[in-house]
Amino acid sequence: MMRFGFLSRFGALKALIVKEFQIIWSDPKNRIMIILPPILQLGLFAFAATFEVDHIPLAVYDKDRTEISRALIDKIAHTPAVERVYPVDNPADLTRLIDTQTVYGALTIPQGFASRIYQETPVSVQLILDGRKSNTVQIMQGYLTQIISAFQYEIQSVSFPPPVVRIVLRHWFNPNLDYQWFIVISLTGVLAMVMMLSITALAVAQEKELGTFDQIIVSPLSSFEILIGKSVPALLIALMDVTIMIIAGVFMFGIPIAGSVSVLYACIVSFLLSIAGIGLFISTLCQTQQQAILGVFAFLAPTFLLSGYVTPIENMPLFVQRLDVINPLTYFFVLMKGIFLKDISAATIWANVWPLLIISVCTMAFTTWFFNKRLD
Amino acid sequence: MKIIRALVKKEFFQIIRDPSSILIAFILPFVLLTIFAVAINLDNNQIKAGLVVEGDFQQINSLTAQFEGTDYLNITRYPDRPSAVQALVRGDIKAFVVIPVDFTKQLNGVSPSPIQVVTDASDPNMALFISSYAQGVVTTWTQAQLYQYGQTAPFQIQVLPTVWFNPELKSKYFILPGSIAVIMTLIGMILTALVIAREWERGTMEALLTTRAGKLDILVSKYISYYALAILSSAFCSFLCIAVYDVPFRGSYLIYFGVSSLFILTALGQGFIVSTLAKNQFLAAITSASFGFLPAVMLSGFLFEIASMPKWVQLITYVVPARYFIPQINSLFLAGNIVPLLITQSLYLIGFNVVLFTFIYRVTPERLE
Amino acid sequence: MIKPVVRIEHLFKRFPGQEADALHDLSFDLTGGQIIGLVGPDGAGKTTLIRLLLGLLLPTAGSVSVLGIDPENQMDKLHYLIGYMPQKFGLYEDLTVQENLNLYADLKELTPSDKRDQFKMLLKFTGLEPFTERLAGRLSGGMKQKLGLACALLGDPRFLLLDEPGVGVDPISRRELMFMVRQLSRDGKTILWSTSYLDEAADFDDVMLLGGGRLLYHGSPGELTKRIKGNVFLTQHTKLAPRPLLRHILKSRFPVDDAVIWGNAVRLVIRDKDTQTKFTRYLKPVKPRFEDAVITLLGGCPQSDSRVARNIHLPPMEDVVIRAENLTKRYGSFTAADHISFDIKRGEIFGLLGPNGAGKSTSFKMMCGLARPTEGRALVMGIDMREHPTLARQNLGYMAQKFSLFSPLSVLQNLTFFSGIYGLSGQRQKAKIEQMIRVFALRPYLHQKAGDLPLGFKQRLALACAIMHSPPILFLDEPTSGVDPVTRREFWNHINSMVEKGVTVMVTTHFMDEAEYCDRIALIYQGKAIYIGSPDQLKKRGETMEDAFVRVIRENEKQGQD
Repeated sequence: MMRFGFLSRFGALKALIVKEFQIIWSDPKNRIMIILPPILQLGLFAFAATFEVDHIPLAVYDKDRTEISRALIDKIAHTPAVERVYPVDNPADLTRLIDTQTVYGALTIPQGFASRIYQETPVSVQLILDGRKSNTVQIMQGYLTQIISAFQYEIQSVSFPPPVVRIVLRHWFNPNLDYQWFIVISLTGVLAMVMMLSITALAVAQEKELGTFDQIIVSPLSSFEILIGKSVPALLIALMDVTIMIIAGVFMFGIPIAGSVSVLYACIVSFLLSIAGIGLFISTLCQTQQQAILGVFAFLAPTFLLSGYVTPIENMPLFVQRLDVINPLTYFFVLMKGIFLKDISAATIWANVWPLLIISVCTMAFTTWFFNKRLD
Repeated sequence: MKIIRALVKKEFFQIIRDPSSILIAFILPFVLLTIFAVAINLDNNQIKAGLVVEGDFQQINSLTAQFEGTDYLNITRYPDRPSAVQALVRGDIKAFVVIPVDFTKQLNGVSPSPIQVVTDASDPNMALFISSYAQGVVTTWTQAQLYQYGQTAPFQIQVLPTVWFNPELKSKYFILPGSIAVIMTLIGMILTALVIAREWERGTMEALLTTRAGKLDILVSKYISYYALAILSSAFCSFLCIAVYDVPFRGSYLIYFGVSSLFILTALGQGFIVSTLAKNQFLAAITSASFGFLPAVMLSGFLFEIASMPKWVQLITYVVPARYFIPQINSLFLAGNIVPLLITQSLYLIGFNVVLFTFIYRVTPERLE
Repeated sequence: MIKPVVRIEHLFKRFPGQEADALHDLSFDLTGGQIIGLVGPDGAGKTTLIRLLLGLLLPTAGSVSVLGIDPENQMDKLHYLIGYMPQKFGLYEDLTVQENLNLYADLKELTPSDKRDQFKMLLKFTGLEPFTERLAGRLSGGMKQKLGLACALLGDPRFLLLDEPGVGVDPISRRELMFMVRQLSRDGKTILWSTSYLDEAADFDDVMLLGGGRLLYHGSPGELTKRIKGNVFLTQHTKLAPRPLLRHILKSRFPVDDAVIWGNAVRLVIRDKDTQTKFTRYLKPVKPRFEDAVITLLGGCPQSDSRVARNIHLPPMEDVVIRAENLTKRYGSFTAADHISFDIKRGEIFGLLGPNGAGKSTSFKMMCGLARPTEGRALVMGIDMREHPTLARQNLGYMAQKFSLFSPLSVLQNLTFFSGIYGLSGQRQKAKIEQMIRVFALRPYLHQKAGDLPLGFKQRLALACAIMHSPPILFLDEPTSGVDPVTRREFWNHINSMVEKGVTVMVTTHFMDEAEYCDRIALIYQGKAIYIGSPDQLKKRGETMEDAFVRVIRENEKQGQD
């Protein structure tokens, strides 16, 4: 009888892990699919995903046609927020431009605008905004208001005293309000989650379909070891992707790493382990890959949308905020932003790491139990 | 025709027998739409912020009251700066405002010491929002103070905003119709991403090709069946939006049906392409997500303004079908039948469909080689 | 002169990127109204030829004409005249029997009245009448095959092409199918039946034997069998048991064309007259079979001795190594296995036989720990599979159905993986892999993907992977399904040599002649073991093993009814 000691066990586990890699690596299309998403995310989405608003097309209906009104239009046209000013001379044109979304807003300067300014009486300009783009136009409204009040000060007589209360603004952790810092850091987490989840969720289902799963069950490996063998390759691939993202983030986008790199990776690994547990759990529940894919989407979509990346968690209803207690991505975003930009304290890190560990222990334990039960 | 009818019938039976297709077509959109409706809220409110008042003066009570009274900020008082800083680093608050000891002095015109607004810019969007909001509060307060002291501005140019189509600027009104576009991209693609590969895998394609059915029949019948399923799913989503989540619908249902059909066909077409090219399911899933779902979220103008993206990214958005559908669906829901917009965007979608179908037709072999 | 149904002239087919022709210079005519067998080893080009006849593939050179039609340019016309059943029957598993029929009837553009008549006729013909509302995926292998045939027969085609209809189907169902096809040929239809099972082809009117893409024989099977008349023998009066005897014969380069174990004896084809006379005392002449003739024509059975067992040294162990005690498995109210008990001794080959769905796989799965018995115990070397699965599994070699290898991985990667998970490492692992490569002649394929290997090589590789850790016990689940007779002989040579070293084998199969290799067999039917004993004893109940098998089952059914 053959002995199956610790060393053999380790060798067996190694064989399982190596095989998993070889399977993923064997198909050139798979290789592309492991490498392409991070590039796509960094190269495309990092530039696209911005809530910054600039280059907005705007219509201007100048009923006044005076030097002052033209000066105002000129000032507006030369701000980065506005891409192009479409002059119109009748309300019908204005309506048409807004309706067709050629412009997102229209500024109407009333007749007598200049004369009222000379008379130093209050005057108002009308700003029509396209409510179909409520978020964009709200920000645009803010910009235009600022431009107009700046214009107001410019043309005012010097005698008027400056506003008495000064406000000093300090944007900590990202002084230039660089949106890409935020996006790259968040996307790193999302990408790692997508890779990890799809590899682990499909891992068992795929073998079930190929019929090779029986082969592995019949081998002397225990169910827990099989699960480890399935998680490690996914973990390494996800880590590779994350590293690509981090390197690009630091060197391409100039993101600082305020905290320690080793702590950062420790956090990433705990996050990935929690995702591995969830992925394997989905995988053992499913008989076919298609079901597993569905499971992945069903998990990914809410996790992503409720994580605080798209909109702040504070904006969500209370019960959704409570649900986020089990959302690994929420913790991970806090950790990523905290370590990259803020150098958060060990206590804060731990407060966000232990829930991840609990998620991974629970899912792994449940998966192992379910896995053994299946044989009945 | 008879052959297509028979094939459609077959697809129909396959669809209704497969619980996952019903799940994809009806349960998944329900879940996603609900998440979008409940959780995605760009109207910032109740953001946690701190307030540190270093001195205690009667005069500033009205200012702190102004901060504490707003709907947008959820203010916590901190006794001193260090504790506010700690809270900010921990992430308990997103910003804090410091009203310095000598603040009242500047009101009286002596050595001005400014009010400080410190934000957590690790989320720049939020930081920008809070800082401009805090500025607004202070400005309003100052003006009120000045008015009290009789120092009004000589004149003012006021901006009077009027918002068309969505006067209350509810972000829900544009997010929900837009999310239908995103959801339909996802569903259209998942539904079809495996169906052609499956016929080859199971040897049924081989059997079909030896009957009177040509590849055109096979493709057209698949288009018809999955189109029927997807349009039902889209109708279901629209119903949820209008009836349950109270989004107004101001256009014509007939036109809506027409443009939705065009859009759904593009999603199905993308799925069919994945299905003919990707032979394994892992690949099909990742491809659908990378080239279907994510671009529909990121590059369609749904959440992020296309006009504000770099020029080269804007060029790429032209190959994202959702980019053409989102203005259409937003207009139909909120503005009504904006005919010129509907026509131009529909032409793009038709062109898209022609290209997709031609491509699928070309890459589907008529024989086994 | 009747026009031939198929006329092929100088047909060549080479797939892009391949160096050898898949089909090389074929020319033949097929006459209508008969059953034509298309036989040959795996990878001989049978499926390629059928696909060329259907116009699903185009010839590289030469001409194909089917019923006077050129399939390349007039595919449309041909569709009215032919019926085709592809390898997996071409059924939609999520459609019911009736819906499958409806679909194919519409795709063949039958009129409503034709539809009605043909459905009635075909459902009756195939015996599927009671099952019209059942999903095709829920049918047994045999019933799927009948439904596939019914679908192919819609539109009353003149020419019917069946690609390996017998794979994965139990003998009873195969018999029924054969019977139906024979009836069709009597009605004037022409049937082309491709198979790698030679016993199927023995009764056909006409047979084409393909080997390596060439036509090796075309004519009646009887004609071919006649060529070796008087050259086929069973051994008698030998001191050696059949297994060592067979090994001895193969090892000593005895001039035989074929040698297989036949119950208690060895079946030999000897064309050399000197040898015949020299050993006349030990040889009992028997009637030649078609298979004997084909193997001889294909160049004889593999002669070399298997070296696979060379390094096997098993420690002494108890006599009974595998024991099933009242194995019972219930799924809800359905009992898949009902109190099955048997012992398997050291160095024995034990076969589990039975139709699909009879409980054979369930019993097998419980024995190797893939399913937990509801009642009873499965013991391997005295260890309960349920209590110490990991410990028990170290003693097992397992070869799964359909040779479940990791198809995207290369041959070498598969070998490395399987040796690895059984705990081999370092020098020992390298040596073992090297041995397997040598024994199974895998060297030329080392870096090829396992999924792209010809079936025979997949089987070799699967066996190699199962025995890397020199297990004392081998579990083989349908190890020769779909594999041609030459490769099957080679496979059993390897098994035999290991068994002689004391390895114990449990095997499931539905090849009747494979039961001949077993020391003892258990016939599983409706969840019960209805016969346990030696194959020779079973054979006494019928003319052939298959007859005996069918008879035992029928008797059992009758008992159940009484």
